[in-house]
Amino acid sequence: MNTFRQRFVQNKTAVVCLIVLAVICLAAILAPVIAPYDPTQMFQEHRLEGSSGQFLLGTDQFGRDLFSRIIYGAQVSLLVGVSSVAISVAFGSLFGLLAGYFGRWIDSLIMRVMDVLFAFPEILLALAIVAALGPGMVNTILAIGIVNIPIFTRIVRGAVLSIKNLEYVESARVIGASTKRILFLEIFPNASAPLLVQASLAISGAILTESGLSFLGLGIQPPDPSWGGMISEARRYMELAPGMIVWPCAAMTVTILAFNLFGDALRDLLDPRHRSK
Amino acid sequence: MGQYILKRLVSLIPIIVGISILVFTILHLVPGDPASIMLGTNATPEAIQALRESMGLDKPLITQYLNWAGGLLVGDFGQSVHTGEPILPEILKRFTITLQLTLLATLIGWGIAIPIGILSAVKVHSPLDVIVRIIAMLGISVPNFAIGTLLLLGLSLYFGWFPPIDVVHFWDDPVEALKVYILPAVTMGIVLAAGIMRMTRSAFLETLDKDFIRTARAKGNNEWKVVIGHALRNSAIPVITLAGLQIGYLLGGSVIVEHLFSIPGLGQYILDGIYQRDYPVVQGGVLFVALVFVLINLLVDIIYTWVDPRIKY
Repeated sequence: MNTFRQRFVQNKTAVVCLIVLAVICLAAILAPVIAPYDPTQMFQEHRLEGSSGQFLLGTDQFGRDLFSRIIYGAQVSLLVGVSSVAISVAFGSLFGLLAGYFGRWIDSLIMRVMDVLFAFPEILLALAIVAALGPGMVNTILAIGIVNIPIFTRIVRGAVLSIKNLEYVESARVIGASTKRILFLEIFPNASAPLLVQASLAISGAILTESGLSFLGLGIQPPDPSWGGMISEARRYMELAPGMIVWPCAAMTVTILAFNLFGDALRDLLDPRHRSK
Repeated sequence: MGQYILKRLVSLIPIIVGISILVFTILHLVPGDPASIMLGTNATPEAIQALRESMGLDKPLITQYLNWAGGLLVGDFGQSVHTGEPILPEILKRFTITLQLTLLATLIGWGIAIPIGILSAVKVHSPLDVIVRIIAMLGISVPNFAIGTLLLLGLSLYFGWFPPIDVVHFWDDPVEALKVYILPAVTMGIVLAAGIMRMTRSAFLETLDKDFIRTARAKGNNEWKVVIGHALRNSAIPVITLAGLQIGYLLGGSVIVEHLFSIPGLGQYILDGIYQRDYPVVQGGVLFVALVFVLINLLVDIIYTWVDPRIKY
């Protein structure tokens, strides 16, 4: 029986993905240092240029540096992805804990509300919420965060149901631990493995949804760079400057792929049923 | 069985009520007054007041909801603020377009995914399997609008081909309709195929590990008879679950692809409603999609019993 760290190091996919994700995160955080130009700075005499020494990936219709915009776009994508999933995880875990632990009408009430939320295709519910709140980064984060709450509620509730009657929980109750302590310190940590896997996958989903909303003009607003918005703007110039579409697509694919593969690898590492294979 | 369906339909009622409340609430949480938002900044106070009254916005929220919900029950989704036309006929008209697109996309997606997924499971760990898995993983990681835009780019750049602008129904002119729908359908189909391929592969891998498959092989059956005759039906449940979910998502999630390819489907109708701040349209459209989604899930549950007679309700 190896420790989690040993098994993690042996899993090539997990390690490679973690490195890729670390590089993307670093690039996003250090964007002001790495990006050669301000993402909104326009070089009017260099519009729609291809790759060159001056502009690594070329420029867009306003002469803005694509490389800088993609790096700042990573900042936006990761910020939206991580914070919206943080919202979903926080509320989803709370609802899941309550529903799973207390059962009865609390369970019924919470799960029926989740059923209702589940009855919408994700992008549509996010659209409706953004339509009401208005576009912009904060509202996009809120919308995507709300949309993903039911998945986490279901996962945590399922885990709690399988844990809450175990002996160690029973003994915690017997020694007089408070309900709050049992819920958050005894049960929750043991329900966190599937949560972690789902969170990794949900971040990639959130980045996809954000880019979709921005593509429709309802997410991040120009001139702020976002990958979806960049692709949307690029459509009119795609024959003149294919790089405007190709590079943001590539950046997005690599990021989402890394989160997806990392989630899959985590599942293999954390789920005992997968472990033997 | 009939009894089961009836029971399920009845149990859908609270969900549907919940959906209508949620849709209504979201779109009435709009900060500010919807009437003045819809009319823009140049509207006179009288015009805003008139619109408020005609939309019933001066009444308490609960009355507004009951009026709207009461209308829904008799098929009245209200009128578009923008055009003044009733909403439901327009939704139905647009829905037929989205439905054709979805069905073609599903056909393409399944056509690619199921055979390849099975092949990949049968020849597990072969080079083919590895390639399939990489492609499938890529497929779920690329946004559909990126695929669509790249397809458009490639076709126009290298072949000078653009899809026709006017939308034609399949029952009017199949060839012309195919030209209209093929690109968006392929775009949606690729994303769909990636998911189905992964699910088919893992479902088959699990089934092929079972004892009854070993028995079937031991009897000397040829491998394809084992796969098609014995494993297929036993692997179908998870694939059908995913497929049902996906069709539901396609019907509502085709917003982006419809926007990209200028297909005037239901998604585009909702989107135009959002752009024009035509909230009754958004409200009606979103509600309609959610209803269809719920009904498809019911249909999937019914199909389960047909595929797997062990499932009894």
